[in-house]
Amino acid sequence: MKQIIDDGFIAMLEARDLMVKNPMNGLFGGNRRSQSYGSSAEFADFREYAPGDDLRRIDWNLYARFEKLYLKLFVDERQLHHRIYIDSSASMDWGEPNKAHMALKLAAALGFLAVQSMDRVSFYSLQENTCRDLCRTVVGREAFYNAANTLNRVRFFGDSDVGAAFASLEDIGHGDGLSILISDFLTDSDWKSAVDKLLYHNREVCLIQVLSRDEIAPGFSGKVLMLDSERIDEDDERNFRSEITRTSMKAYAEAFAWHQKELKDFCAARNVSFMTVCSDESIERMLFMKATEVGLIQ
Amino acid sequence: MRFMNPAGLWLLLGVPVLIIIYLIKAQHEDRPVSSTFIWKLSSRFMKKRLPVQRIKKLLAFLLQLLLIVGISLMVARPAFNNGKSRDYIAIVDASASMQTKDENGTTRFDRALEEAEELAKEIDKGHTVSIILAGDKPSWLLQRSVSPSEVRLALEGADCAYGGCDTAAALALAQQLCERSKNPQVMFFTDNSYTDTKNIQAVDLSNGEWNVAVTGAQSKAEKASTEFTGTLISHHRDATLTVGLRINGQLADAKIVDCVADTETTVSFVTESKTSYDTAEVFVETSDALQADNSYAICRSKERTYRVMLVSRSPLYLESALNALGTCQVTVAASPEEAELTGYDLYVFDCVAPQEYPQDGSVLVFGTQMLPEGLTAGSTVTTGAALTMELQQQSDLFADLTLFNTAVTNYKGLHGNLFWKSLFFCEEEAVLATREMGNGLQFTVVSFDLRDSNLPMQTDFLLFMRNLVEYSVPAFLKDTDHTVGSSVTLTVMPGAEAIYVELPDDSIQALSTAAAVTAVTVDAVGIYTAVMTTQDSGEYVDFFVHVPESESRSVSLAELSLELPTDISQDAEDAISELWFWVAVIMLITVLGEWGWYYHEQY
Repeated sequence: MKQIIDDGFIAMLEARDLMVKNPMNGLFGGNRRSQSYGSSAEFADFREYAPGDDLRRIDWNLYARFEKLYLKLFVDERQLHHRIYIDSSASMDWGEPNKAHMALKLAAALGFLAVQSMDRVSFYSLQENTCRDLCRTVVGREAFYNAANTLNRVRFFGDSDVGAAFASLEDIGHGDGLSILISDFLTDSDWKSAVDKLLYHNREVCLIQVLSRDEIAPGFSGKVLMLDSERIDEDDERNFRSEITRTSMKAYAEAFAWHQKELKDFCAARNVSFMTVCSDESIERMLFMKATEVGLIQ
Repeated sequence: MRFMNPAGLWLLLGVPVLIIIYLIKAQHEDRPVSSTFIWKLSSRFMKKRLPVQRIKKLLAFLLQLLLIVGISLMVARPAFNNGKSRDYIAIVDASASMQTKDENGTTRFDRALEEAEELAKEIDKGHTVSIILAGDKPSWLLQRSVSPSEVRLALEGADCAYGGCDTAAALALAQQLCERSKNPQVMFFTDNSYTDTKNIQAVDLSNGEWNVAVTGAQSKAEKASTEFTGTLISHHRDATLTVGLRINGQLADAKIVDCVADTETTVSFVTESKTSYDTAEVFVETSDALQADNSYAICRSKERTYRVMLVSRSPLYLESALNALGTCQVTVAASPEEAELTGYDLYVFDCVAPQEYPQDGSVLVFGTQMLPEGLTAGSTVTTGAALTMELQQQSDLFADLTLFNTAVTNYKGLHGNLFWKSLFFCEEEAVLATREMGNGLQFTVVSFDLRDSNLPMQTDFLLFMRNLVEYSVPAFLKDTDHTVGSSVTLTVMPGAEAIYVELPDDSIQALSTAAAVTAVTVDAVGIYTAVMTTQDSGEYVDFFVHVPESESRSVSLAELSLELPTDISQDAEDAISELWFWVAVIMLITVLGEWGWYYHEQY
């Protein structure tokens, strides 16, 4: 696989940042402004003194002017923990350009943006019904580069059951950052339960669908035995025997559109960000147009 | 319905090829995809198929089949007969005279074939062509052919013979087809001219070619010489010719002879001494139009010696007569017990009878002591009746006989079954009966004693005995002069192991020895040699086969005798209408349909 990041790639991302809509929890010391007040150096607001407040934070200048006690409030800054889940099934290792390469590149880009904002980030590989932490929590650029090397070595094979994988995952965080799921979503496994679980844990969720061009518009016809890339053998029920005609191509287009609408409706109902990328599109277009549109990057 | 180019139907082989392709193609092609999820989902979006839509799958296949059939039909050019078809019947004279060459070296037969081949063009107009090869035995070369190539092939295989032309038989063959045909046209390609050809189109291919023919030859032995005579004729023009004589293959003499046109000229060659020969050939040295009749050979029959066993107590008459014939080697025995009854050509029992008649030779019995099976004798008649012949029948026994004043005083009437033939009579009672024993051998019974007749005193007696001997022991080959096309009959002698004939081209034709006689049909000019082998020895006879005299010249004949149906249309119109327009329309529709269906399915 080609290297997913290089100097040009990093330079391109320098001026960008991950956008977290509702940062809540997280470790202190980060660079992410919280909605609550904290102890940073940046002034936020005043409020009237209440018994029990720290007397050291009373603004005596205001007391002199208004003869009332006011406390001086400061912005609270947190360090978030983003989690990026990569579907590593065989169906992702498909297409020209390869979907897996695009998925890893997206994961790396988003990971870089996270560490650049002083946040922590974790990469996970979803395979069969397990979710594997690829390189523990990444903090700082140095650690990110090491993680990028690990991403280069991710192998895509077998199938994946996203719902089952998340069900067995204990540490998915709680309101402390983004959960980004990168997959093709061409599966009938219960991935929606995974999304619901993330939302239950107050995670901000973003789904990125990676497809290849021939999945959007297949270009073959005639009598074919379609062999699913995740099949076990020739008799696997995932294989599909059909005669591809103009009618069946039309039905495919309708089914694809229906599936996409299902995805979007699902995400819209839960305030989940969703974007579809094609593997032959440029990464710049992904990051600076589509990701910006859905509010993933600012 | 017919095809102007039937070879185009070979393209129909594309149909099974297409079926095979479809059968092979019917297997689903393996196609790896990332996921079949959407494909499976798409089945929900497929419109429910109506029953009639099921055949849509077959539509492309049917259109392709139709396309192949259409292309095949276009190449094969289908056409239908519009009822104006004419049956052309070409009778090609294949007699020897048709081998006459013109100045360019082309024979009349070649020209006849060219004319007949022209008829092949009529096939393209929907007519049929039949060809009769009219030789000695006319036969169909082909009947009602609708294939020009078939006509050409048949004509290429046609050969001209050296025999005559049986015009009547050829016309009878044509007549048979005419009776089945609505619109026949008979064409006769010959070198004879007819004053009245009725409704037959006779094409005279003779061109006044000059031809010299040796029409006969004979020899005559004189006391101190032998004279060979040949007759020749120069047709259409006077000529000075070199005529030669070959004896036993060696040139013996030659003369220059002036011949007047169409007049028979006789040429004689006299040898200085009496000449013994097997074959003598009179020939003309010239380059006329027909070479086959430029010579005539005389094949002399070998004189045969008959081995005769005469069993008689008083053999005076018979022994004297047999010896007088000069061809018999007579052995006399007084009684059957003393006689050796095997190894002879002829056994003569004079008023004596053996216990059993021999089987290896002919038997001649005088008297009725022991009659063979199927023959009985009546009581003795002593009236002194005249001996007469049954002239209603043809028999070699009667040759040269007059039986003038010949009478028999005592005889018995013979009564035989169907196998016995009664040839001599006294007062309507058979006194000589004969039957064939097999292998050409004869069993002859004379029911009177020669001593009871004045026959031995008559000059006819020697002739009678000669006839009896030659009749009882037939010659291997009687006649040594034959015409082409005739059947030469050979007698299968007792003990014959093999009989074969050496043809003029040195090839050998073996003949059967199973029957009493065997025959060979001669179809080439020249000297043949018939050979018979026995265990001890063999016998051979040369015979000459010549072109029929009538074939050496063109003749004018009165009329042809074929009656054709009267309602013959004289104009030969095109009898077929091609269907190319409709085939082209079907093809166009099919191509457009196939194209449209393909794009509908693919895009």
